[in-house]
Order: sequence, then structure tokens, then C-alpha cells
Amino acid sequence: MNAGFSSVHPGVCFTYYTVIMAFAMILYHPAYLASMPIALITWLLLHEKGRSLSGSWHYYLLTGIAVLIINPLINHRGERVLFFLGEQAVTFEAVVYGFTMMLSMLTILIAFICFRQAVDNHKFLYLFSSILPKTAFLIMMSMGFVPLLTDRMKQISIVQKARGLDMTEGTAVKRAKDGMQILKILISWSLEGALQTADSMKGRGYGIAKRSSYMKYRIDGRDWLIMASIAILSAITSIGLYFGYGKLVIFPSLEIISMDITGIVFYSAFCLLLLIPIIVEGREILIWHCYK
Amino acid sequence: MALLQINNFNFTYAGDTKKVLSGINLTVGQGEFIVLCGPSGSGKTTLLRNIKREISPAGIKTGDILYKGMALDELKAEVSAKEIGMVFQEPDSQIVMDTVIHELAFSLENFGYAPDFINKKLSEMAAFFGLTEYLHKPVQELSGGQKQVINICSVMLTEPKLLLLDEPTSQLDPVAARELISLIHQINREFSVTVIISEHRLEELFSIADRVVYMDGSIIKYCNSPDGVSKEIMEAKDEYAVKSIPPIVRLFFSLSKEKGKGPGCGIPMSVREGKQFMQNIRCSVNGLTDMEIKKDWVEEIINCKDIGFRYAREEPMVLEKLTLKIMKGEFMAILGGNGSGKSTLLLAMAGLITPQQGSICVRKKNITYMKQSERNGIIGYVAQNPLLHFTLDTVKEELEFALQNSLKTGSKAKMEELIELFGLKDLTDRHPYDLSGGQQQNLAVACALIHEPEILLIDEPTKGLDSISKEKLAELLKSLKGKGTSVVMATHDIEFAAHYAEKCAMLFDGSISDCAEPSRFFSGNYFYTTSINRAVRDYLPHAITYEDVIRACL
Repeated sequence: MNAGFSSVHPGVCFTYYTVIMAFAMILYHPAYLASMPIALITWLLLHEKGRSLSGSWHYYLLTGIAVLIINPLINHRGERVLFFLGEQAVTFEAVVYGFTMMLSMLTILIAFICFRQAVDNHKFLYLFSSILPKTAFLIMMSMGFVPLLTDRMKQISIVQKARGLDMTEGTAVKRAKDGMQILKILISWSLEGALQTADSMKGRGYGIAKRSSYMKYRIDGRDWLIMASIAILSAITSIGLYFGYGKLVIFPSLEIISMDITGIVFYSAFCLLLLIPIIVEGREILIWHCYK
Repeated sequence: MALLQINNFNFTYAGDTKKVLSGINLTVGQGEFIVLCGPSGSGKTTLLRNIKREISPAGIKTGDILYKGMALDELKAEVSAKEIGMVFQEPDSQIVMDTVIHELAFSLENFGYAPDFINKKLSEMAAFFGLTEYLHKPVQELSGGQKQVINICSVMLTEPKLLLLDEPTSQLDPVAARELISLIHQINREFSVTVIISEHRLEELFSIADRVVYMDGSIIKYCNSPDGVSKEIMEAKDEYAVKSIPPIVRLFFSLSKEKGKGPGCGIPMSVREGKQFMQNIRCSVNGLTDMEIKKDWVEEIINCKDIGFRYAREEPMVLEKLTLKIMKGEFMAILGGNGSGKSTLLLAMAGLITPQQGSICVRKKNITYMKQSERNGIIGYVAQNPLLHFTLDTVKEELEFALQNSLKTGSKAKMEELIELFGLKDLTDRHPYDLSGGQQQNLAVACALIHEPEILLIDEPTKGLDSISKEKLAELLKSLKGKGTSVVMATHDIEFAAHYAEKCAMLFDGSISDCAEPSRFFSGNYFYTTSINRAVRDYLPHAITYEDVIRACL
């Protein structure tokens, strides 16, 4: 899909999500931390109705809860003891720390999902083809082979059933053996094909001159605008961080969670940063809405 | 000046002593369309590869190949790669990248062109080849025919002067093959690109070729215009070569010779010309009406009842309410377009996939509930690509493995008999991958027959075979039938089905739309029928093969 924030230049998307993940690791203030996953999920819902989350959200949640539970069990720093588990003290500070860890981890995980949605394989390769052109080319070739090999594998398994080789039946040892045989056919067949692939590459002049790389991503005005917003807003947030806004002292004892007027200004800047993809996406949805 | 000049060229593969090409002389002018034909193993591919320097095989070469008056070795690397383009048989393995647009850009990237230039080239060429709507699709989602179009387009982007094609249609169904050939013809006419194409399927090519080069046993045997080559072959009574000539042309020669009339017009190369020629012939139609051989099949062997199948729940039905009966000793051809489900139907009949609806009974016993070893004793299955069957290192081991799996106290004698029957005697120590396509198929059939099945299911057996191998295959299948084995074959090859099958079934939209004897089956079709039938249908509606017409006219 190439709409909304995913139609923004891949370099811009890459910068954006790197910045978000970095902030997820540095920031500790619960308001900051809680806003991040909310904003990211909102964008996913707008962009693709949350389809990429729908199958796997419970795994992410489980990971988060695990962090929330495990941290107070192994971390005994802090002043306010809630209760004793055996001889181990479970402190209030450790629970809060676990909570911030959970939010920061969920943010990073969801930011990865968002990144995959905004930057597909080709765009990703494009990002790296200038740094590692050969690797990018190799990866692109391999990606073309994956569906071909999967399809061949299916064909082979069906036909080999007639010869009594079946990966789905029998003892583990037999299945492993049969699997190896089937793999052997796949490899010999594909190697035969690879010879022709090599011929076809040579025939079309591969290796004659230094390869250029054809990709169709141009940075336009909107991309520059978004890039500038990211730079300015994240600079403001960083300045705030320098003065302690967005941080939280947890150990040895939890400070009182509060936000003064300056804090609200810095927080608003951060929220604006989070809103960028939603604004881009929302603007497009609005245009389509009016268009109809 | 000739574009390509081959002077007394000889070639022997490294490590071999037999010449694969000997004394080849050929001059090719700018813009010519040349068809290279001849039986498998006659050196067509070797010749084409020798013209394309980047992929020329290792071996001993004498004589020279000149491109624009220059020896190939002296050409600049860039000139050779750009100006001589080559497209191969297999659509899949030529493709390097994962999406269409990157595949097309690949050849231009190799020469280091700037992205803007690539973009401009792509925009015009993709439009010419009708690929604009597929540009961002993954290549593997396209059909075989579309993949070949991409391969040709990718080569054409560097503006070659000489286009070499090595059996580009051998993996395609007849409709896709015809489209590809007319595309190649269009390229030849519009860009004046010189084309050298090697092919087994000559019906369409004879009418558009400037010259036909017939190779046999490492030499060029005939080289002339299509008319001239046909005449030479017919006059030389070259038994093998005659079989590769389009049937309409053969018909012309037989009829005009026997009846002494007809030559008023030229040699008919297309259906249209064939029709004009038949106007002058006037033959007795009566002879053919009783030609339909009515056979009473009594014993039913496979009964597919209302079967429905799809590969995944969200995918469309491949087979839907399909009902088909196969009788003992019958030779049935299942025809249908690409992706119509022919292969799926065979797999279902072999019990290798289980339909979600309906039942398939073999001898009144549901095939789903049989053990695989029991099935093997009744049904032999040979896939389209015979390589899928082989896991072992020699032909002999492969056969012995099949023998072990057999339920019937498989006798060694049976194996020896099969080795003899399928001409595998000198090949028993070879690796299955080193055999030719036809031999591989024979081995796969032999392995299936070791279990002495009552039915042989065979998928696209004529794919990529030359006319001589096809005839051998037909002989084999006939001899099986003589022993009471039923044969069910899925095929694209209309001519083959018309010649040898006893019943033809048309698979369309998931079910059988027509099932009849070939003469009735094909004569009822307007387009999906043999070229002979299309040419003579006004006069002899039931004649579908060359032999039918000869019988009616003499």
C-alpha cells in the first residue's frame, strides 16, 4: 500500500521511526510513554485498520505483562516495600519501573510494526542500496526466489507422496529423513535453474560495467516539510530532556509525578511529533472524504 | 553486409569427442526472421549459445562466427551484451528480481545507466509490451506466458540488433505460445530486429518466417524459404523431417501429388491458405461419416463424482462438481486452458490430494481411504516435470527403489522388461538429471509401471518434445493400452490428442464441459481444434488429422 504516511519518502520514514524508538528508550515520564503507543496504534488503525496488529496483539501484550511482573521480582531497589515474596521484598518503585519498561518496550515493538507498514521491502532495500549496493541486490534476488521455492516445495511434496516420502506422516526420524530427500530434489532442481539464471544475467550484461540502481523515490516538498518538523520537534523534546522534562526519578524513591507550565510546552511539542503520521494520514483521508 | 556470418563452424564440447556442430555455414541479413528446427539433440541450442558470446559453451571451436564482419571475440563486451539478446526456454529461471519493474530495469542497470534514462526507456517499452499494469507485481504471480513477455522485454530494452530465442514457447500452452510468437513477429517487423528462433512448434512460424534452417545430426540439412524447405524435405522423402512440417503443408504435397491438382496456388502455410487450397480439391465426404469407431466400454475403472477442490479456504474452487468416468483400457485426454485444473484433477485421481467435496472411486472403492502402497498398485502417476520424482543417484537405483515399494511381488524380470521397453538400457548408470527431457519422462513412467497399475495418469507428456519423440511416446502409450492399462493424459497438445486419444474431455470452469471421441469432440469446436480441421471443416467436418483427410480424398 502506498498511501498516507507510507507514501512519504522512505528516508523520512526511517528517520521518524528511529527517533521515536530512541525516545522510547530515553524517556521515562509516564505521560510521554503512554502517549507513544497510543499514537502509533492510532496511525495503524487509520492506515490499515490495524490488520497487522489483529493477529498478534496478544503476544505483544503478553511480553509487556511479563516485563511488568518479572521486574519487581528480580529488582529489589526502592524504599516503599509493598509486600514480601518469601524473603524478597517487592517494592513500589520496582513496580513503577516495570511499568515504564513495559510501555517503552511496547512502543518499540509497535514502532517496528509501523515501520514495516510504512517502509516495504523495496523501500528498505533502497535505503541501504546506496551504502551496501551488492547486499541490497542480493537480498532482492533472494526475495524473488522465496515464493518460487515455496511453490516448488509444495509440488515436490505432493508428487513424492506417491513414492512413499511424506513429511506429514510417520515417526520423527522418518519425517526428518523424508524431508531431507524432498529438500534434496528442491536443491538439485533449483541449482539446475540457477545455471540458467546465471546465463540470463551474463547475457544481459551483468558484470560488464558498474551497476546503477534504479529506484523511483524522489524527495518532494512534503517530504522536506515533514523532515523539518521531525528535526525541530525532536530538537525541542531533547532540549526539554536536557532540563529534566520527560525524565522520572524512580530510584531510590519515586519522585512526585507532575508537570508544570514549561513541562506542558515541551510535552505538547512531543505530542506534535507523535501526531505527524496521523496528520499526514488524516489529511489524506479527509481529502478522499471530500472527494466523494 | 550481413549481420551475422557463420563460416564453416565446428564445435565439440570440452571433454567430448563427438562434434555437436559440424561445417555450419549460415549468413543472416539485417531484419531476417529465421526459424531453427530439427529433432532434439541436433545442436540447435549449441548453435544459438555459440552466437551469444557471454554464454558460449566451453569446448573446441573451429571456423568463425562474424557479427557485422567482426569476430565475436573481438567485439566489445558492451556491444556483444547489448546488441545480441537471448531468451531461453524456462520462464522462471531467467528471472532475477522479484518485481516486474526491477526485472526490467535489471539489464539497464547493468550498463550503469542513470535512473532517469532507465525510467524513460521503461515507460516506452513497458507500454509496447503491454506490461504497464503489472509493473509493481511480484513476478511469481504472473503466468508463464507473461513471464516470457517480461524476459523478452527485458532483453529488448538494450535495443538488440539480433534476438536469439531458444524454444521460448516450449513451456507454454497453445494460446500463450501463439501470442508470444505473434509478439516476436511484431518485434521483428516494427524494430527490424533480426530474429533466430529455435522451435518444435512450427505451424505458426512457417507462415511468418523468412527462412527455415533444419538441423539434424550436427549439420544444417536444409536451409531455404519455408516453401523451399518444405519442398526439399518432401522430395527427399526424409521420413523424420517430414514429421516436423506443419500438417497443412504435408497435406498439400500429398494431395497435389496424388491427384495431380492443386498446385495452382502456392503452398498453403496458414489455415486461410489451406482453406483456399481445399476449394480446388473436392473430395468425397461420404467416406468419413462412418469413421467414428464406436467402442463399447463396459468396465468402469475410475468414477469421479461431483468432486470439488480448492487449495485453500480463501481461494476459488479449482474443481467444482466435476463428474467423469474412465473405462478400462481407455486412452483419455483431458484438455483445457492453462490453470483450468487439469493437473489438479490428475492429482486428485491419483489420490495425492483429497477433494473437499464428492468422491473418487477406483473399482468402486473410495481412493481416499486406500493406503498409498495399495494406490500405487492400481494407479501410476507421472508429473509434468519428471524431475520431481527422482531422489536417487542412478537410473537403476531409482527403478529398484520403485520395485521395493511395490506391493505385488515385483519381479526383477518386470524391471528388465521395462528398461528394454523404455529404451533405458544404456542409461542405467546415468544420473536421472543427466538424461534428456524425454528420457526423464520415460524413466518416471517406467517407475510408475513397475507396480503394474491398471491406470496411468500422465501430466503434459508432450511438453517440450520434438515430433519424433512424440511419436515414440504415442507408441509406448499404445503398447500399454494393448496390455489393458487405461491411460489418462492431461495435455495442451491438440494435435497429439486428436491423433492418439480415444476420448477427449474438456475441462472448463472447474468441470467437464464436453467429453467425446476426438472426431466428434474437435469437429464441434470452432477454434479449439486441429489446424487441419480448421482448414477442411467446410468440406470434411469430421476430419481432424492429416490421415483422416488423406483417407477421405484418395
